[in-house]
Amino acid sequence: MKLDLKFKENSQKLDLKFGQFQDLTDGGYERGYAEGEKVGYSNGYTDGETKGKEQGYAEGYNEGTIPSYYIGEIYGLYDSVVFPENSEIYLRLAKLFNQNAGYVCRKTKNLKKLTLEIGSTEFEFIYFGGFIRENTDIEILDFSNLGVKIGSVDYFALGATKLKSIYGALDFSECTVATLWLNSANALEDIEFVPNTIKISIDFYWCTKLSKASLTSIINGLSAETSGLTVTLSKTAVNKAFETSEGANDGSTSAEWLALIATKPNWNISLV
Amino acid sequence: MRVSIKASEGMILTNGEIYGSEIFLADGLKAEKFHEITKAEYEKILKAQEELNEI
Repeated sequence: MKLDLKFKENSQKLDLKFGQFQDLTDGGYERGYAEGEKVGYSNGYTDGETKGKEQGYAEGYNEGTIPSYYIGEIYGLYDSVVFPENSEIYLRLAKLFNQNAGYVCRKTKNLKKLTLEIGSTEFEFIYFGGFIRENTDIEILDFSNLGVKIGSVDYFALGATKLKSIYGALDFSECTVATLWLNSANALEDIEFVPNTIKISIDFYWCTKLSKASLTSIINGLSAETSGLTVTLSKTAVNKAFETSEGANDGSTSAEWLALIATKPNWNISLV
Repeated sequence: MRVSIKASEGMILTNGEIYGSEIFLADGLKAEKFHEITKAEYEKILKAQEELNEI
């Protein structure tokens, strides 16, 4: 039997036969759903991104510095970037989504100071290999609120000839490689370690200007529970920092120095 | 007082792993294991290490 259905004006006239389905939606519902989903996602994403940036800007901004944003990965972030002269960056991450902070400022130009703060990460330690490698302008690294343990630091500041200070106590308890990490970093004066966390042989022999506080922190940073390891220091730095009187340059024989290194009899302490 | 060894002027002490002009030895490490090399030889070794690490 054939029905002749009439619809309102401008409506479609259907030719239906009993016992037969016809897709009245003609896929329109699916298309509409898919399109709506895309638009909704896009709007939501854009909205979220905008708000995230605004929040990150507001919370990360420090007067006098280039503002930071919430980002998840920083490997090679400023590698070879040329900033305006004497720039300072406050890089504040709400969450780091991978374990790699290598080569962040390798060969970066005109960056005088970098402050890094990692709000959270699921990793216990982060790789910092080549972090400021061959960066010949940076003077200060501020890790005071770093928030993570230091992983391997191979080539960390290799060739960073103006690096003067690393602020914040470094937790080296998970660091297993420090190959050439401070080679040519001969301007370094300030560095600090969490006590008893250094568990690898480590070199500071390029660092002829290390302060007394820094040298003391290095010795205190050596793990008391290792054996067969060596810390290599600059004799020039030790002689100056621990000298018994102005200009005596006799630090390596001073009672204060000898008392300090006596606390780590399990370590070879080499002066070059 | 821990044992320390000092190299002659212009020389570096080494046991093949540790290098220094003055070395405060860890407990158990013998001074007899060390010998002197020149600073020029030491510089060569450092350079070779750097090249080995492809810097």
